[in-house]
Amino acid sequence: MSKRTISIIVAVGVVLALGFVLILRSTSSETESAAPGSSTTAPDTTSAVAPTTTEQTTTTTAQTNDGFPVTIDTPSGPVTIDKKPVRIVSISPTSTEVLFATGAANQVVAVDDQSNYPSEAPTTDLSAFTPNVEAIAALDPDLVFLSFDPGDVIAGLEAIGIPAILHPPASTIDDAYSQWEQTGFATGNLAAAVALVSSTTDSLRATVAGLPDGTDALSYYYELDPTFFSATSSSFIGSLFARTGVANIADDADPDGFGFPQLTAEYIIGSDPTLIYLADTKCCGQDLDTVAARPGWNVMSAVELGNVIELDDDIASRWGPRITELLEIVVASILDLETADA
Amino acid sequence: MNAIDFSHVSVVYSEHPVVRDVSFSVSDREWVSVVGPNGAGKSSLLKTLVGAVAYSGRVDLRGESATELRGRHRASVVAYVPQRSFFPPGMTVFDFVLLGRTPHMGPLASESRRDIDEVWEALEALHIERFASRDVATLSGGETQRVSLARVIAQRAPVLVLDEATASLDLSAQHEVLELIDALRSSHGITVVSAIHDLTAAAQFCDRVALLSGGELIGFGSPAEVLTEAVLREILEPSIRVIEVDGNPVIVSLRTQES
Amino acid sequence: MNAGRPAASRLHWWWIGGATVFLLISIVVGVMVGVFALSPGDIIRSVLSRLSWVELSTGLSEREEAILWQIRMPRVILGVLVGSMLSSAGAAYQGVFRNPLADPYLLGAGAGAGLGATLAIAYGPVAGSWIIDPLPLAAFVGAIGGVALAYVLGYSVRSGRTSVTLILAGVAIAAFLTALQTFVQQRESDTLREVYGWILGSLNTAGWSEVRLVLPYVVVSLSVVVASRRLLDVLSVGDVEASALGIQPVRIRMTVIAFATLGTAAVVAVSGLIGFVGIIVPHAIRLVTSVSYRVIVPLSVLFGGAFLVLADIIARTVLSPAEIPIGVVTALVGAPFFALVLRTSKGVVS
Repeated sequence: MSKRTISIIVAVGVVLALGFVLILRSTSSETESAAPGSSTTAPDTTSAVAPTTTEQTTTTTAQTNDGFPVTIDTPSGPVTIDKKPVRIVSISPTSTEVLFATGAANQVVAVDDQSNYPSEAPTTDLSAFTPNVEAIAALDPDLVFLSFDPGDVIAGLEAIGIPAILHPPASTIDDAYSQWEQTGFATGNLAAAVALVSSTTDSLRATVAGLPDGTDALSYYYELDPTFFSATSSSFIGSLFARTGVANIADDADPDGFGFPQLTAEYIIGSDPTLIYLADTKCCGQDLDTVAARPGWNVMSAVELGNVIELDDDIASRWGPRITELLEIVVASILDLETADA
Repeated sequence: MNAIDFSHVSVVYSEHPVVRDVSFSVSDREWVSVVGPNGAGKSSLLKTLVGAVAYSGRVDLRGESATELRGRHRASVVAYVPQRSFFPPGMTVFDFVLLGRTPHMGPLASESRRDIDEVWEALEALHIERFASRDVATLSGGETQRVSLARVIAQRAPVLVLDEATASLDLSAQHEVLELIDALRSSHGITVVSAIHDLTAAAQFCDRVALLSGGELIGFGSPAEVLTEAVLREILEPSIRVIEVDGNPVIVSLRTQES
Repeated sequence: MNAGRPAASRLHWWWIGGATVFLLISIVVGVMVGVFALSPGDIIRSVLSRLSWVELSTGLSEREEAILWQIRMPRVILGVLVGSMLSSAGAAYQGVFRNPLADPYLLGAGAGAGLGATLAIAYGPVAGSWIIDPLPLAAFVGAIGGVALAYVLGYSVRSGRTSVTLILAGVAIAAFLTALQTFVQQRESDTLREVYGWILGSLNTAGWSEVRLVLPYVVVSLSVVVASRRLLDVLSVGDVEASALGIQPVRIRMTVIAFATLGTAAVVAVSGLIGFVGIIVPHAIRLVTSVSYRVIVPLSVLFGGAFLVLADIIARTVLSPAEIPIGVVTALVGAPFFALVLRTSKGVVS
């Protein structure tokens, strides 16, 4: 083989590998960016849920059966549920929390291995990350919830007549609300779901009402993992934090609103955020001590003053009813802020 | 002292003997050719000199056992040119010839001024100075053999082992290279042991020939003594004729006539 | 007396000098450039005050000092070490395997490190609960283990201890370890982003402790590889002729592989699997200068370090203050650069 041939092969290989890397990246960013498409296909409010389904319910004279059958719009297409489900399987920790908060507890027969809240949830060894159609079907469910659909699990379930609802990571709070209401609607607990949305709305409003003026002078860094991936205000978690008025240092790193940039250490230290929120305490064992031990981090005022808040990764990564708890922790951390003067 | 002594040498490849109990000696500055049909064990016998095969018996190089000569020391005594050297594409002639200096440099040392001068002398001895910067992979057959020989000269080894080094050359190039070797033998005082296919060429250039057949030595002496029509007809083919031209045997194979 | 006698393929002083200057410039630029503009004067004053132990008023705040000395400096220095190591290890692998397509991950160092890192991320104790961070340790052990396996497999083949059987063994081991790594990663897909980020490589979390960790390995490894550069040339004529020239190909191959792998494993442990450097840098040098490893290896040390520092500058500034994985940059910058070298190089032979 000539040297030129070899060299050309190298160049082609490099380009192919590069393409491969880019493909991998775009795939991974899709799963991270909370499937923006979901917010457009999923209805925004209760009233938006109902219209897409009233026609069906009226035409099928379903009053005899708790309002069933119902048809709902999901990111994977319309799903029809013939009667009130009593064997629900949740392969999504967030859906599990929502089901239990909307009164569907006794309709749920199995949840995945990551669904660790509430404690009475019937946890099984079903994988939340690599759900298996046969393993799910073996439980004989009449409705399945998933947060993502690797390998066409939903199509597989539909093929054997099991309706499945895809509720991907919410990108806005309204997006989450509409998922909760859809969950209530699909399980025959619409009233409870509407009540949950309304109480959550009130709670979030009340929580931030306790904040004094001038929080916009403060800033925070939200850490997703120890390689400095962060979440900006255009992400779900960031939009929740944004209600406090505190500035997110990652926003400058995300002109395209992608939501989850990787920051450089230099930028984080130089920005000197007032507060640091760690959402990598469970996954990666981070806490105030490990942060203070990072090179150069000990000069940051948040570290010096101890304004490093260790969040529960699970609560911080879900878009379920516990966002009220999360916001309370955040607001408390702002109210209890240690200052250099104190 | 003899340059080379083979004494009861046998080589066995996976239980298959290819050289059987061969003994002969090569004097200093002598040119001895190992000849014989394909598979006679010529190449295996030569490889015992450079440690490329395991053998039983004894092989001495200038009085020292070949098995005890190791690495750079052995390479400073015996140089080896295979039938077809590998010429790394892109390598310059200079760098290729410089490889011959390997036994004279410390394992981790770089080439010294002296090494560079030796390379130039070797290039000049073969009249290929102008090729110094050429890529070895672009040379013609005759040129590559000159470059190989330059590397041997740079190696400064008193014993040269040629394993069918001219087999791939055309007749005139082969003749030219053999003349060169003969000239180097006198100018540099080198002992040459070669495996040669061409019996006529062997008879013309070599002082003595060692005739192998089936791994056994069946004749050793001057070409005229060894390369007789009777012996060659027996081990090669019945149609062989040996003609004498200017005192040298010329070996030809004539087409059998049906009569 | 050497008039008209070009000593071909020697390591000309201007190549070494030029490469050294290029490396120094890239280091200086790497230290000067960042998200936060630190004035060059302040940086020089700060450096001088550290070097001479004389208290100079640097004009930098405590935080700016931390950015300069705790973040930028170690990151640039680590970039030099990683780039030098991967490039010269690539050159060494190309030499011992007589194959310009070889790279430091060929024998399973990359796949082994990837498996080790994935296992540490998926099943290892969380960082901070051990005295030693389990991730670099597992990656290091995985890299060494992968190559050791390939070596044992390659040399247990009865037909001979050639470099071809070793490459085949390496390919088999690498495929096997990558399959295991993928299996673990799929089973524990919550670790996907962390594993994936590690595989793309990064210098983002680099500090002096990483520099201290890899420095001894890199120094030892580079010393052996650079010292073996002429022997790599001898190996290029094949094992039979090389041994007739007085060297022991098998032993040299094993030594060079062992030390190149040691250094590669160390840098991979702290920076992840940064790709393309080990193949692009030595090959570009080969195309521009000479096929002689006497030239390629030392220049790979210098240009490899400079290349990675420059790639890292791009990684941390182009989308500033966001970061691009450096493996993406080495490919994005490396491929066109390589194509350019390919087009403009003279004397390509068949």
